[in-house]
Order: sequence, then C-alpha cells, then structure tokens
Amino acid sequence: MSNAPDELQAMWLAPSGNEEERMTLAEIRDRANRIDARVARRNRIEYIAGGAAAAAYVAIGFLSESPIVRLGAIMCALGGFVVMWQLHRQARSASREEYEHVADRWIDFHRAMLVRQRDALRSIWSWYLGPLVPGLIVFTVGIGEGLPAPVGVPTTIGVLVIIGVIFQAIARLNRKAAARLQAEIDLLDGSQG
Amino acid sequence: MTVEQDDHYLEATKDHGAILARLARVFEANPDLRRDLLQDMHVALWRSLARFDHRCALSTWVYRVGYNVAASHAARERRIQPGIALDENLPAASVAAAIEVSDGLERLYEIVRQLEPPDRQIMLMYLEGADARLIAEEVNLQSGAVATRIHRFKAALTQKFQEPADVQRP
Repeated sequence: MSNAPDELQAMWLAPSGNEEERMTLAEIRDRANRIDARVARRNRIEYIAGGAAAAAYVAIGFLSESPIVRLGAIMCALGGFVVMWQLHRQARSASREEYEHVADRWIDFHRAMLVRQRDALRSIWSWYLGPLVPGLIVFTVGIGEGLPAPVGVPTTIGVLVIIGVIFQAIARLNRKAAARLQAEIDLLDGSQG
Repeated sequence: MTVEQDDHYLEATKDHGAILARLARVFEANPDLRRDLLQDMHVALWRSLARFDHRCALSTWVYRVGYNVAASHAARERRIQPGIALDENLPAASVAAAIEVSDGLERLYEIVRQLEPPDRQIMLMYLEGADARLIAEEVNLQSGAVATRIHRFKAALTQKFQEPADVQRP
C-alpha cells in the first residue's frame, strides 16, 4: 500500500503521538493466554451451571413417585446436556472459523460469519428446541397423570399447548433473524456480481 | 507457535503496526475500549501469522486481519450504527458532527467512521495509499467504480474541509 500520498493521505498517514501501542512478544503471549483462560473460565461456569440445573431437575423429578415423571426428568436433563454440548460445539466451530478466515478479504470473512450464524438460527429445532421436547412431553404427561381425573387430561393438554406455542414463537423469531442474515448475504453476493 | 511466526509478527508490526492503530481508531471511539481492541488485533495478527503463506503482501495481511477484527468488534458493540452511504456529497449531518471537533484529522476519522461498507473499506484503503486495482480486488468491484467513489469522496471532503465556517451549529 504505497503510492505518492495526496493531501488527505498525508494527513491520514502522519504519525499521531502515542496511538500506536507496541506490544512485545511476551505481552502478546500473555494476552493470548489470558484470552484463552477467560474463554475456558466462561465455559467452566456454563458447564457447572448447566450441570447444577440438570441435577436440580432430576432431584425434583425424583421427589415424585411416578416413574413417568422420573423418566421425564432424566430425559429433560439429557436434553439439556445435548443443548449444552451443541452450544459448546458451535462456539468452538465459530472461533475456529474466525481464526481460519481472519486474513481473508472482509467480504469473504464477513460472509462466512453470516452463513454460520444463519445456519445455526435455521437449524434451531435440531440442536436447541428438539432435544428438549421429548423430556418436556414425558415430564408433563407424568405430572398430569398424577392429577385428579376431571382436570388431569385438560391440564396436561393445556400445558403441552403452551410449551408448543412458546417453542414455535422461539423458532419463528430465529427464522426471522435467519432471514435478515440471508438478506445481508444476498446483498454481499449482489455487490460481488 | 514458531520462531517464524514471531519474526513475521515483529516485521509486520515494525513496518505496518500503525495501520492497526488507525483501524482501531476508526472502529472504536472510546479510548479505553480502543486500547483493548488494538491489543486484540495484535493477538489475532500474531496468531494468524502462524499460517502466513505469502498469498498476499504482508501489509495486505495486516490490513485484513486488523479490519476483520475491528469490524467484528464494531458489529458486536453496535457503536457505529447506523452508517451512511457515500453519495455524491457527504451528508451534511455527518460532516456537521465531524466539524464539531477541531482537529482536521479527527474530522476525517469521524467521517470515515460513519461510512458504511464497502465505502468505509474503500476509503480506508485509499487513505492507506492502496491503488484502485488493489482496492477493487478487496471489495470485489470494478476498478472504475472504485476510482469514481474515491473521486467523489475526495471532492466532497475537500470542499467541506475548505468551508468549515459555513456549517451552522444547531
């Protein structure tokens, strides 16, 4: 990047005091290690919180004598673990992709990031909502089975409908977000034509 | 982590480190956050240089890493929203905002900060001294289109710099 500078370029390229902060290799490694440690700490906290939530769910489930409720609690906990694992997998994939593309042209780098985010949002049922559904259904049916006959079935159906509506709303929001990202991708692709 | 990586990093920052500082200044107005961003850019550059393959000039590599890290930071922070499109004339509002600051260089940063991609990238690369062909490759536009945008930018900017007294403050 070196042509004879015009007036604007000369102003832009002129040294501007202490803006250029040099880092030694030791400082670079130290900061890189601190970034990695921060990510690892955040992951640990998420795993501990997720594990505690799953344990609490199972414990609450086992307060019931109903085998269906117990099974539902275990399935919910397993579903939660699947979601946590998927979140972890996607975070790792995102940081690996960012590392691999960071020296690409911005248009390619940005597109790769948008495509990854769009795909994650589009597939929300398979990695986020879906794994929770079986456990929630079994758990709700188990609870409903313990209710008195006149209210048990309608209550169970009502709760399942509410869960279904909430999940559909979450999915719809994600689809809308994915559509916005797709529009941005289309814009990038159009500008490349 | 190799000796070659360290050598590339030292060479890159010695010759082109100022590019990172300027990019950080464009994408982050807050001095404290800017310092953090700049350090993140240096770490990303150092890490990336483990696989520097000479597919492009070192200066271009440094620029790309810096730009991508800074643009991602800006997208996360949402501090540069909304941007403006580069028209035949820079919008008066953005120029008026820029005129608020006294220093000409600060005005320039303020205006570039508010541009939208790909205009921001085109102007940044132009200001860094890249030729229209290289800029066109980076943003996937025709060289002629890039040259036209640069011409408009320079004309509008030069005019605005010459008549700061005409800008009415609210």
